[in-house]
Amino acid sequence: MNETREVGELLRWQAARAARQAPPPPRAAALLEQIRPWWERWPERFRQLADSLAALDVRYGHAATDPRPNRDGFLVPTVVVRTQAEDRTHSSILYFAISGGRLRLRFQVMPAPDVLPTKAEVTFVDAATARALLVAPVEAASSGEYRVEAELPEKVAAAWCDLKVTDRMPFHLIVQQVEA
Amino acid sequence: MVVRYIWFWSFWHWSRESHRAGMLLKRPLEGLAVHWDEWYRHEASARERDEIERLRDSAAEQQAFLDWLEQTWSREAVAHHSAALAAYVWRELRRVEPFVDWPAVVAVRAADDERGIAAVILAEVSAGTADDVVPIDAILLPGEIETDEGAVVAENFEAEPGDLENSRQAVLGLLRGRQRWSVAWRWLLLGQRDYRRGLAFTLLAGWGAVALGLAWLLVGPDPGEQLPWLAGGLVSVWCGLVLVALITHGRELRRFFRAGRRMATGFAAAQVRLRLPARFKLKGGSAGLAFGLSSLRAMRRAWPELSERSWLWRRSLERLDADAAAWAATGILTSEGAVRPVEVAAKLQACRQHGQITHLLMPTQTTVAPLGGEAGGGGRLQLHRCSNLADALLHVAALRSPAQTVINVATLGLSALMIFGLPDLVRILVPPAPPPVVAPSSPTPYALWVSLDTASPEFFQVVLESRVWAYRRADVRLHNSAPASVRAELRLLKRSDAATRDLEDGIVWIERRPCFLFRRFEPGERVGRYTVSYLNRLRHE
Repeated sequence: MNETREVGELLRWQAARAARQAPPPPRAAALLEQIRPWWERWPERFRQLADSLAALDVRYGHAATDPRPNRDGFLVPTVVVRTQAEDRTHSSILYFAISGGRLRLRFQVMPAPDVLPTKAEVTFVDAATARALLVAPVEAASSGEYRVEAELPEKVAAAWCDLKVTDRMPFHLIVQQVEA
Repeated sequence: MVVRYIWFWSFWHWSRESHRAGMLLKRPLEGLAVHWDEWYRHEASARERDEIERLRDSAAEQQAFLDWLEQTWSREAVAHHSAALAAYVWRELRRVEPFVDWPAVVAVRAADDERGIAAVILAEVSAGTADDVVPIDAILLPGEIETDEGAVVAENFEAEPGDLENSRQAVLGLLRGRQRWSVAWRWLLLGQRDYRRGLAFTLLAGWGAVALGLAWLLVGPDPGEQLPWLAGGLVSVWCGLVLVALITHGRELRRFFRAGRRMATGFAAAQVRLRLPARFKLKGGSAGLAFGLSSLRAMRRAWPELSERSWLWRRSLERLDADAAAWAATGILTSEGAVRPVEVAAKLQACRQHGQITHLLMPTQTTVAPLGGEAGGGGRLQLHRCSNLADALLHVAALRSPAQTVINVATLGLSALMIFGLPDLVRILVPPAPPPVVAPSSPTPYALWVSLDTASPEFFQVVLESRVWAYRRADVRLHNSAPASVRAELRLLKRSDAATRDLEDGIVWIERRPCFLFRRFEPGERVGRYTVSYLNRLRHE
């Protein structure tokens, strides 16, 4: 019994000390600020990147010689943002599947910059309106390839559910390096 | 029947259906690694993962899976089988989880480290180091030409599309275009033969007999009555040798062309995938020759059976495959198969420093002395200059044979002599009919003309025997001076001991005088007899 009481007192003392040493709780405004997406926290920066993406958009002209449907897919304008540099390039969508409101995407940056971030997140930007749609972490797969798995907003999922990998994608990509 | 590795079939069918449904961009074979990665993460069931995991700790099971890929799956899953297909699939799978750490992977990876033909790709500001010698890994996927990636794919490097296509066209030209004639005549003139020892000895003996026979006919003692036998034997042996040569070479060339056409059909519809050990962006086309040879090697690995029926192809491609690790190549390869000059100084240095490269194929150009510094790595580097892809292949195949070249030159020389001398030999064997004497006769009393109606004047001579005139012998030849005729002209000289005063006393004999090229043999039989008086009464014109 004495041991139990001593342990209990020790635990209470530790909790009290932790409470005294803990930093003050953040204010609600600060918490709300933290969960805002980055394009809302730095709108100018986002605008700059979105303009870059728009400039990269490729206009396709089909001088078709083959009656079969196009199997090459369409390149998606991509900006790769690293700490010290930015690369404007394109990506080829290798895998696109939506199931149960979740997007599974695999894309390859082409041509791949010399250094690609291994820890990064990707922002989907609507190609038509230049508005950011969602952001998700990416996993570097192999040379120049990234994998994404993310929950899609309902409207976006409904709009994209019939997309095929050979269709022109309604989004552009911003790949941003994430600090470790 | 037990269906093994159902999980792999599940993956394969998911890959095909997803591609068809528009979820996957690349075709199932092209995007194998990517598709497997996605399927394994999201689609594989727990049971399938367990089955795959069970293989992790057993090297024997892993090897059994590799064998199954090669012997069963590759024959059933795709329309166009090739021996290289399983190797390609395995190469792709071992880049992704969970295959990366399999012990069998390590073993296969070591086996795959048997290097291919190397290209010499200088890094920026490199003066030529061993690291610039870059082995090329080439795999051929049959029946995949309708892929979206094109007929030649640079998997992990960038090259000018024209350079890759040039190497492909050059290979096709070698298989079914003009380049194959280059291989053919080079082999005929300079290359080894695939004779059995007995046949080779017999042929050598035969040509030796022809050489001896010709020597006897030209400079040896007069065969006399044995001349027809000698000529007949010579002609028979030579014709036999020529017939054997025509049959053996003709058969091999026919097989060579036929096999080339078959390989070309497959190659034209296939996709060649080239991989370098590191990512490169190639500037310049000097790796073209290496790409072309690597494509040939990949074709041989994909369809070893196609080259089996032709000794020339089999030998060439087998050596290319087996000895590839010792070879490097540099040179711009055009679509016609020509090899164009490149800067070689630093490349020579790089190959000399590389421990395993002992042969370098390069264009026919003047070699600049390598840059300073000692060559390390040991071994001598042999330089092989080649003007086209066919030449390069023959170098790698080590088909050139100095001994055979000497034999070929000698037999060609002997055959040339035989061909030139064949009319004479035929006349020896089948002597021309005795020619009748015709006009004109001599217009003067100081000479006796014996004009003959014959197409072989050199084969006859005339002899005058007379009690009044001195013995005379003269060759029959074509006289162009008026009146022109084929005749022998005998200058008449009165004998001091003339036994009669009859100036038309005398007999002119027509004799056969066999000859061979520049040599005339002893006179043979007499085939005509005419009196001087008869000859004098022939017309003068």
